[in-house]
Amino acid sequence: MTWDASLLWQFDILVLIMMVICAVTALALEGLLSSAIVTGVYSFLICLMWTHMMAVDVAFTEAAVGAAISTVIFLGTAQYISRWIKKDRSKEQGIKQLTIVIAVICAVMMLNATRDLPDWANPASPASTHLSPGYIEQAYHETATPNVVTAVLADYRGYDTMFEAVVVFAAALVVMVLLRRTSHKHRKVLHLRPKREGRDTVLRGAAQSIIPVMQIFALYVLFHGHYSPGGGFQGGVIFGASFILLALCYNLKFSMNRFREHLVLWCCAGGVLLYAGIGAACLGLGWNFLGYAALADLLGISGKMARSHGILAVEVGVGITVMAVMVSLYYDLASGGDLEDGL
Amino acid sequence: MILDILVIIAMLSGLLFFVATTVGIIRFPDFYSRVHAAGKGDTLSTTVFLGGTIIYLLRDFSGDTLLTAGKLLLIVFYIFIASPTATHAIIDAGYEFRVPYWTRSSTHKGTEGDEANEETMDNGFYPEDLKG
Repeated sequence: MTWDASLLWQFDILVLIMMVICAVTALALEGLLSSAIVTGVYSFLICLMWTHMMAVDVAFTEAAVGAAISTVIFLGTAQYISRWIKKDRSKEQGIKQLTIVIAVICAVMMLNATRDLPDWANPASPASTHLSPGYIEQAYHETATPNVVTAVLADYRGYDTMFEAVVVFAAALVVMVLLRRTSHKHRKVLHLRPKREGRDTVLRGAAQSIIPVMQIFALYVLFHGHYSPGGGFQGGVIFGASFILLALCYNLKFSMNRFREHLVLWCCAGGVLLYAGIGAACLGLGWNFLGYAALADLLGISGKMARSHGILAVEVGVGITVMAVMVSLYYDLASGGDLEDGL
Repeated sequence: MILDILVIIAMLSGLLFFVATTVGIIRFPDFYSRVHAAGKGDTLSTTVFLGGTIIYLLRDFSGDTLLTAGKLLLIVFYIFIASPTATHAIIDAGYEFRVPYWTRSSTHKGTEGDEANEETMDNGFYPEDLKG
């Protein structure tokens, strides 16, 4: 199938205009809840853009993280913040103006920098003439992985991916350190969850039919990353979203009984450890850090297949970390850090 | 030929329902009827639209198109479950928060946070144990 990128430029323009409108609206709205919803709409729009650029894996990560999980986390956080901005604070106005100045300066600098970038999909750009052909020609022969994106992500550029996983892990740690030290004596909770008996029947029925399929799909995305768009990050966020959906349709306690706090923490660290551990094992066997071919003798397979298996193992590590971090962020932010009651 | 006509009918009716949904969201007087328009219209139009796509795909029948059609069918199925459930959850939250609703007798349109509509709250819409 050939894909003419210029075919639907009107569609691109339309989506971009709608995204700008959403971004401005989210800033202009005073209610935090409304802003969170508009941010979700923005994420869905950028999903369309990515699907159109044929980056389906990025698109469904964005749909799961940007549109679903972030919106839910924003809503969960907004209940602990007073809902309306007071207008008459001159100090806050000053900070707001400072923020606008900084944002404008950054925007000008970044727009200036884009002039040096090659055009999108320009065949004469250095990346297209030197780097990409090498990956595209060699990836399958060297790693036995048909999906070049996965091969580049987890093998050729394994360091990047490992530290991305570490960044995700650090985010969960920071949220935990900040929130669990705060006292909650004066916190006010918007009781978003009605107390009426039996109101959740429809929600629970829908959750029961959707969540198992979601989790199987997450595992498929994770383990099929060698052959189709997907991998650790994508599978992890979908799996994490399934636990958040469980918490939304039942309640936080129910979800925490299924996936306990201790296990979440173990998974957060365990995924990163698995990734770094495989890298260190390769180092110990006399190869480079993350040089999966070192595992060939250990597993009794060819170097090519060892790289394929190594990619799978680190993807699983990334998936575990991302899934646990999403759930951990939700637990902490939705309950204000005390893990007792929340959205 | 017949299949083509079916596809065109499905697409046009899907578009029609989408337009009706949009008009409903903008024109209906209160929170509940707007969400109801969004939920019903969206679900039906998406279903009809994707149904048309499935027929269009299956015109040249092969294993490949059958697989894609199956995936589309699954999408239809989960939209059919998820969209009405989301509508139900939103309406239920509004009901619990006692968002005023529109009645024929009220002289003005009731919208969210409309305090003048308090009186219409007490005409049996809420069970006794939830008052106060």
